[in-house]
Amino acid sequence: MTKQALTRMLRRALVAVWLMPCLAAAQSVQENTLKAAFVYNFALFTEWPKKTSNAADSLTICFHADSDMRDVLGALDGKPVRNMVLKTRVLGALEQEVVNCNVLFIDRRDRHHWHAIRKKLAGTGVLTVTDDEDIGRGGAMIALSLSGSKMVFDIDQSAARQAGLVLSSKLLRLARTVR
Amino acid sequence: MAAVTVALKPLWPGTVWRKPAACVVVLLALCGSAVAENGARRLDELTAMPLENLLNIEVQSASKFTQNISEAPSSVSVITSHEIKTFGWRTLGEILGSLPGIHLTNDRAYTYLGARGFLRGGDYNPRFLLMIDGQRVNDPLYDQAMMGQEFMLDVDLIDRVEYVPGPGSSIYGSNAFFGVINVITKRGRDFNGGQASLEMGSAGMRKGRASLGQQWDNGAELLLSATSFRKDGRDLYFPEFNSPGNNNGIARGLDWERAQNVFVKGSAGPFTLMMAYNERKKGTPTASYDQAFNDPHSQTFDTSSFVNLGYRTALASKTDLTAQIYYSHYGYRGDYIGSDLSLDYDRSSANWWGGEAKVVNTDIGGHKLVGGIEYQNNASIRHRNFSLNPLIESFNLRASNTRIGIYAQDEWTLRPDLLLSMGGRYDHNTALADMNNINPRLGLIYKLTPATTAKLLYGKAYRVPNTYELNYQDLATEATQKANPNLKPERIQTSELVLEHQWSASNRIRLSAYYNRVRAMMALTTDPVDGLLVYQNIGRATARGVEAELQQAWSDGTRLRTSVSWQRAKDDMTGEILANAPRLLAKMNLSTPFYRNLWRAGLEVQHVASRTTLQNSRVGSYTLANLTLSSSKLIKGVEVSASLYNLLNRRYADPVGPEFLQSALPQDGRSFRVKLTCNF
Repeated sequence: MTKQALTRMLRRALVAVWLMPCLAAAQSVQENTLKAAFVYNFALFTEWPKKTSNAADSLTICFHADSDMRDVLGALDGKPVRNMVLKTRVLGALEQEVVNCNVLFIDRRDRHHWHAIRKKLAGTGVLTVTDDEDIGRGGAMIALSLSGSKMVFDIDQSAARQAGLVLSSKLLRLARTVR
Repeated sequence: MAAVTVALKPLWPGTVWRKPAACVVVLLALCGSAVAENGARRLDELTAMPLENLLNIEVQSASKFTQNISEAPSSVSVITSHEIKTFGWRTLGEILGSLPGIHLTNDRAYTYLGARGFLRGGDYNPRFLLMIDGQRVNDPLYDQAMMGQEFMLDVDLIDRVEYVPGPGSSIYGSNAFFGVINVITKRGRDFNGGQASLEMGSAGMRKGRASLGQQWDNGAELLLSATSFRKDGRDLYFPEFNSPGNNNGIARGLDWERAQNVFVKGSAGPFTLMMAYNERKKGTPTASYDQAFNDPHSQTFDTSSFVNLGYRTALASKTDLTAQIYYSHYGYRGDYIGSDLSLDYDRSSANWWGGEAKVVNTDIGGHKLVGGIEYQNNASIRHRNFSLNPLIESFNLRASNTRIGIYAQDEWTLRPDLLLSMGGRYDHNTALADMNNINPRLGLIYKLTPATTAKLLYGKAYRVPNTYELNYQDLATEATQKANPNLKPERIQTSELVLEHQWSASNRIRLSAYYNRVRAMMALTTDPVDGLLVYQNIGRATARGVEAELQQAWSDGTRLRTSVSWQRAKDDMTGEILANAPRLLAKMNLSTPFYRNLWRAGLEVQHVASRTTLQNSRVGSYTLANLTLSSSKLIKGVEVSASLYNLLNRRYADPVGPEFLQSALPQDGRSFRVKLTCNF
């Protein structure tokens, strides 16, 4: 092998090594982005009781200003969902400001406020979605979690029923557990 | 200007470097922008996908390595309360016995755990760190990790058990030698009301439990639970004692066992308060320690308890702080009836307290940092041995010591497919002549493909000699054993390669090959100078082995977990296979719903290859099957279950320690248990 051929090979190897993380990044997805896509689907496959919609042509997703999900959930703003449009709203303190929301995303920051939030939400027809195990077990309607490297979700159907929400059979079928 | 010219010069003279270099730069820029724009652009693609497809998307995140509470770069096994019910497990030992590489031994006093070919007779599981909700429960006197009814919790209160095989001293310090067991308890909300449970089984076993759990609207919750356990035990036959003077080798009504325990756990806001108490009395039917055979006075009594106040908060959105303070007590009373019918009493106790603080941070891009500090004050350790009529005290020890440990670990995502885990812990222990110890751990986790992960793990762990090993002596009466205050910690060094492959969310295979070297192992030996027994650092042993584990879940609810372990643990001094070290372990746990999904059947099969005893005889291999049928849907709020253990009534024996005349003890044949649980 000539010296030139050798260096060419070395260089290609170098390029390949550098590109590996790039390729890997392209194949997989950031966790929070995937979560936001799930939240979108939850909004898509939930039916709200007629009286609770604040505006007939929009659905509002609310979340905390400090949430790690703020950017990705914010990017859902303006997306069509069935014959409506998604709106997003940033809240300062969930337990005080949660009004006129259709979907509320709660993360672990609000673990200690969860019961106050839940009390406030009683009977208001808000779909509660969380990615925190504690909040999930404590009566949030849909809890997202990782199983291995895949995202899964668990449904608390009794909580959804109490709020007058109807989760589609598709959601119930794809959930890891329904209780 | 000159610098720029130099920088643009071809790297290798005679080749056109600029073009490919530019290529790389452009590609990297593209790659970077792809990652940066991930949020907006990928979200559009994802929201356009059907939900079914989202469930199959691979998540790129360090968090997939951190789903467990245990901070160790290892293959953590998790067993849930659901499995505990499905397979009818009655003790922590039985729960752990379903894991690859673990085998159990029972000597009708305690249950012992063997890992990857190591199970030494004559000590009490000191090479496993046992924790309840992160609280260390090995006592400072014997370092015992309790596995049977002597364990502090009713298994019904266990939410899940996490087992981290391999050395854990880089985070957890002493005792995390072969593995770390973390038992996570249920919470008030898991009951939300009252629950009463009754069990009945073979050999006059009956158990009752009452629990009350509640969660209030402000988030506070409380769990109260109390259990009482009784077992009459069967008459046992030991051929070694078969003589008319020894009731023809039959120990009549001595295998009895009684246990009571109480557990309280409350939490409000960031605080958790936990209290646990257990006492267990056990008859000794085996005439261990040269006792008189078939004497009803021979028994042991263990009590353990702790109070723990925990605090957990998020310091920032990606920084968690957990802290705890605790106070613990362990007490032991052993009544021994000598072969000359003299009465000999062992009375020991330990009181200790301590605290721990741990910070976990995932804020720095690509890093998961764990740091912590742990302090334990073994304030009062007492150990007395005396005989009555006349009163002769052969041993009376009062000791106290402290230990402090500082640890740090970083899980560094070098690339999306490559994770490096580095950690270490420094320990200072005043009980030792050589007070300072450092134990490192390294792990390299590489995603070969999205479904396949390779882990290369290296670690060191150690175990500090306990008070009993350092100090016990009985020089006042018939001298048999002397102390060795110069005893050093024993050490292990392990290397392991793990391959994990996940075809889908419902199926996973894991292959592991390991090489463990144990040095300065503590062993009870005879000093040739004075003929006295003494603990010395003499043992050297090596274990190598391969484990394969397969897990599969089917859509109808059938679940399978099966494993095979080949292991070879040999004594480096003699070149022989260690006592009580089976070469092969095979396990299967299969469960399936049946009869309109109302019932669930759980079948457990375990094979243990033949083992040698301390006397160099052999006990045969055995295969056990246990079957449990359970239902929680028959009547609302009622759970029923029926179990048959050792279904095929196999006769088998476990090798035992040097304190026995017998080289092995026969184990129970077929037995049953029925259980009824009602929720109010």
